[in-house]
Amino acid sequence: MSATESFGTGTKASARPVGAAVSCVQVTLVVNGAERRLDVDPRSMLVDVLRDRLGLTGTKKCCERGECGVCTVHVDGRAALSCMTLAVAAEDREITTIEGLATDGDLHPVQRAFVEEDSFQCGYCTPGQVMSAVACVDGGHTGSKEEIKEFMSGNICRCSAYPQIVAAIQAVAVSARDR
Amino acid sequence: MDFFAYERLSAPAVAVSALRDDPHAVLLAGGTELVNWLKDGIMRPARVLDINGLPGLDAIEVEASGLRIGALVRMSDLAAHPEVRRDYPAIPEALLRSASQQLRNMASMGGNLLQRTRCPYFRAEIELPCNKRAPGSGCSALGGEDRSMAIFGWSEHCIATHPSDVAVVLAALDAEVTLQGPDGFRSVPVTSFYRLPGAEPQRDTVKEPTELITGITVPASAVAQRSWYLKVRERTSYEFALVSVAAGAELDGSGTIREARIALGGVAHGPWRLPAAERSVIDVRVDDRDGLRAAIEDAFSDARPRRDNGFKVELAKRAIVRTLQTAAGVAAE
Amino acid sequence: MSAIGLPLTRPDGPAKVTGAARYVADTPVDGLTHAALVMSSIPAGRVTAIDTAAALAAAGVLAVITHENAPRVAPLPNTSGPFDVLQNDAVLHEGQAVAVIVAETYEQAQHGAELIEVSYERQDARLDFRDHLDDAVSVNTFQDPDSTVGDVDAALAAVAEVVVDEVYRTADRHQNPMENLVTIAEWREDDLILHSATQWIWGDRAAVAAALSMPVERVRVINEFVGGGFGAKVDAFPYLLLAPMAARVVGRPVRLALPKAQTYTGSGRQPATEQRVTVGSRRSGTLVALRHTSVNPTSVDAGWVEYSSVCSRSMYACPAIETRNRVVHVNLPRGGPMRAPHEGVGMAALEIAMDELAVALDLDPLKLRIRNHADQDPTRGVPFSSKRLLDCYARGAERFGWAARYPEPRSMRDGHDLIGWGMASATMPSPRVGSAARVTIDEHGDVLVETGTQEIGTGVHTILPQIAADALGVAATRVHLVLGDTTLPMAFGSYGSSTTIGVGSAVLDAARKLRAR
Repeated sequence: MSATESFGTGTKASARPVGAAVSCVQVTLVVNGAERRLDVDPRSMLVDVLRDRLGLTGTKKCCERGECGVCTVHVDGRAALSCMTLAVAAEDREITTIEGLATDGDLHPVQRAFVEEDSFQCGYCTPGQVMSAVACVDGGHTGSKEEIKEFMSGNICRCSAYPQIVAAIQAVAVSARDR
Repeated sequence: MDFFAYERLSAPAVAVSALRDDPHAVLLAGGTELVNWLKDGIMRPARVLDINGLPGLDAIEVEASGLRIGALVRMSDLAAHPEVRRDYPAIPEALLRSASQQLRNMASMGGNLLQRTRCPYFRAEIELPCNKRAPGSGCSALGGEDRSMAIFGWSEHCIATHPSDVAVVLAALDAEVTLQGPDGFRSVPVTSFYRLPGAEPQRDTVKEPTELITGITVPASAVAQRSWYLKVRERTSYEFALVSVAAGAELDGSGTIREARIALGGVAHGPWRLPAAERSVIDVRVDDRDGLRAAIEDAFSDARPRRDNGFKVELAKRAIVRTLQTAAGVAAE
Repeated sequence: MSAIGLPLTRPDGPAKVTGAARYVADTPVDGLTHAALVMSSIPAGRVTAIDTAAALAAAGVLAVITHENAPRVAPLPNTSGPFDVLQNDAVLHEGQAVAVIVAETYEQAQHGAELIEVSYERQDARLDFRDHLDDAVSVNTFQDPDSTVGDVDAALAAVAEVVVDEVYRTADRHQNPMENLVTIAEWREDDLILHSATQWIWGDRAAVAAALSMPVERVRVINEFVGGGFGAKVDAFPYLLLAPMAARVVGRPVRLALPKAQTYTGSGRQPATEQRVTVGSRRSGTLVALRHTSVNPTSVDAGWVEYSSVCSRSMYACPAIETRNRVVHVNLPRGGPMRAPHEGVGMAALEIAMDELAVALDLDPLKLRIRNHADQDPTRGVPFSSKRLLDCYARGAERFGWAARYPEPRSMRDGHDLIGWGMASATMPSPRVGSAARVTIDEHGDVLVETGTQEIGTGVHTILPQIAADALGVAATRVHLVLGDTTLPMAFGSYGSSTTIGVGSAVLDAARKLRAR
C-alpha cells in the first residue's frame, strides 16, 4: 500500500456520504470558563463554532490557514489559532477568547495599554493581537523590541499599527515590573 | 472538505492497528499541516484519529548520553527547555525561526518532521500538474517558478524542498527517528528518513503508512554543544528558508576544527548533509573565513541549480561559513 | 480649550480591543444562510455546462445559482465599466464567479462548492500585457490620459546636456485588508438590506439598486466598522450583487464572505505597470524635458486606467512635460484603486529616474529636487494655494541626518547589513466632495452627530466629534457619532483622504448653524 492511498481518493471531492445527513458530533467546549454543549459538524473549525454558534464574534477570520493570526485564542493558556483547530479536537480544553479577557467589566491591562498607545486603526486584527500580546507579556517575552516583534510576528496588521502594538506591550511589561 | 468521522485514540498500539486496518484514516496531532490539507482538499480521509491523548509521547528527556524527544512534544516546549538550549543550541534556534508562536504552541515534533515536501504549486487552489498531489500529472515548477526550489537531489518529477527547520538540525546532529509499526519498533537516522523524489515524489519519507513516529533521539556530543542554525529568507519572520544551515564544530584549544557537522535546508527534498565538507573543514581554524570557504567548495560539485535558483549555491556556501563561525562564537549572528 | 489638536484616545478604542466592535460578518441575522462562490479556472472562453446534481443533493444545500438559472439583472455599474453578473456564459478571466451555492452552514456551502463541476470551452487568452504593448489604447475614466506643455523632443535634442531614459516595471499590488470582502443580503418584501463591508455605503446602494432595477430608496446599506479597505472596498464588484441575488432565490438572508484566495480576483487590484521616464537636464541639474508614459493591463470588458504619469504633470518645474497613460486589454480581472493609486505608483518611477539623474550629474539627489522645485503648477501654469515641500525637504534632511549620508552605493554598513539610504517625494490628490451631516444637542448638553460615512480605521469617531465639539464649545467626550447607514445624511466614500475635509466640513457647518440658533 503506497502512501497515496491514505490520502483518500485522489483529490476530487468525494461523493461519500452525499445525500445522507451529516452526522454531528456532540462536544462540550469550555469557553471563557463556561461549559457549552453543542452538536458540531466535525469539519467545523473552532473559530466558526465560536463565532456562529456561540455568538462570540470577537475572534475574527481572514486567511483561514494559520498565517495571519486574527483568529488567535488561548487554548489551555497558550496562544493558538482557532481557524486551524477542529472544534471537535478542542473538547476538554480551556478556551479563552477576547471576550473572556476583561474581568468584571474592567479592561485587561493589555487592552488598556492598546487604547492608551493607539495600537490599532480599523481594529479587525486587534482581538488577535491582544490575545498574542497577553501571551507575550505573561510568557516573559518582553526583553527587547526585537524579542516582542519576533514573538508577535504571527499577527499581521495591514493598517500597520505595529510600532504602537510594540509600545503597548512594552508599557505593560514596564508597569508589571514596577509593581 | 469532505465529511469525516473523528475519534480520539488511547494508545500508540491502537493508532498502529487503526492505520493498518484502514487506509482512509489519518492521524491528527497539532493539526497545523493536516487541517490545511483538509481545507485544500489535498487529503480526504474518511476518519481523523486524534492522537493528542496518547500517553508517554510528550516527554523531553535529557541524559548524559543524549536527548529523547517524544513525538507529541510541542515545538514551543522544546524550544524553551533550558537543558536543550544549553546542550543543543541549534535546536531551539531552528524552532524559534519557524512559523509563529501560535503555530509552535500547536505543532508537534513528530508532525514537524512529517510536513510534506512541497512547493506552492502543490497547494494551488485550482489544481495544477503536481506529481506529489496527483502522481503522473507532471511538475509545474519544472519550467515554472523555480526560485525557491531544490539545487540538490531533484528529479524530473519533483524539485520541491522540505520546509522543516528543526529537521535540518536533527539531520546534522545524527538524530534518529523511532517508529512503531505492526511489526514492532525501528529506528531510522534522520539522514535516511527523507527520500529523494526519484520517480515517486508522492512518498516523502521511508515511514510506512502503518507506522507512527513515537520519538526522536539525539546523541550528546561536543559538536551539538557548539551548534547553530542560520535561516536565510526574504522576510525576517514567518517565511520558509531560501537556504538554511545547521552546523556544529568541536574545536581544540587553538580554535582549530576537530570535528564538524553541516546540513543544509531549503535545497533538497529533505535536509542535505554535506559529509565531504564535514571532513574537509577538519584542521581548518574556525576564524579562517577564506580557509573554511575553500574547504567546502567541492561539496557543491553535484549542485544542479535551476533557471532562477542558482543564487542558492553561493548563498549556501557563505551561510555555511557564517554558521560555523557563529557556532564557534567568532562571528555575530 | 480646543478639542482639535488634543491627543484624544479613540472613543471606539474599548470596543475594538474587547471584540465588541461589530464588523459585517459579526452581524447576527435570523435565518442566516451561507453562500460560497465557484470561480472560473480558465482565463477566456465559455461555460459549456455546470453539473450541480451532486451539490444539490448534498446535505444542507439550498440552491445553486448559475448563469443558467440566475435572476435577470441589469449590468452592475463600476467606474471602469459595468459587470454582467451571471447573465451569460462568457468567461473573461480566471477567478470570475460562475456559480453561487447557498447552504445552511458555512461548511456545507464550502463542501457543496467543491461538488460543482464546470465544463468550459477554452479560447485563446492574452495574459501578459508586456507581450502586447503595441496594442495599448487610450481610455479616459475620470481624467485626460494625456497632457503636453512645451516640446519635449525639441528640448531633448537641443537643450538637454544629460538624459536619463529608462523603463520601470511595477508588479500587481493587492489591498489585502484583514477583513475579506463580505456582504449580507436580507430582503424584507421588496426592500433590500445590505450589510456591506464597504468604503462607500452610498456607492454600493446606487450600484446594487441600478443592477436590480430598484429605486435607491428601497435599498439600505449598513455597516458599523470596516476592517480596512485600502481601495478594495470602494467600487462595486460582482460579489456585492451575488448576495442579494442569492437571497432572492432562497428566500432567506445570505452571507457571502469571500475566502482570502478569492479576494484577489473578487475586487480590483493595482495592476502592474510598464512606465517609461525620459528626463533631460542641464549640467546644473535644471530640468529641461520630462516625458512619463505608463501602460497597465486591464480586463477585456473594461478600462481601468492606472494614471501613473499624472504626478509628473505637477511635480517639478520643467518647461517641457509630456505624460501619457495607456491600457492593454488582456484576460485578467480589471484593476481598482489600491493605496496609493495613480500618483503612488507613478512617483516610484519618477523618483527613481530623478535618482538616476542625480547619479549621472554627480549631484546630491536632494539638491536636485530643490533645484527643480515647482513654485507653480508647471503644466497648468497656476500657483499652488499653499506648498510647504521645501520645508519638508529641510526638516526631513535635518531630522534624518542627511548630511551624514555617503552617496556612494554600498558605502554604508551596519554589522552584516549594507545600508541603502535615499529620499523621494510623493504627491497625492485629496478631493473634497460634498457631504451632509446632522448635529443634534439634547437637554443634557450631549451632542449627536449623524452622517452616512464609514469607519475604516482612520478614526472618524474621534475626528468628527472633535470638530463638532469645537464648533459648539463642548467637550469632545460629550459628542457621539452615528454612521454607516444610508438612512442617515449622505456622505462621500472613505477614500482619497477626503473624509476629514469633506464630511468634517459638513459637520462643522451643521454644528455652527446649531450654535447660532
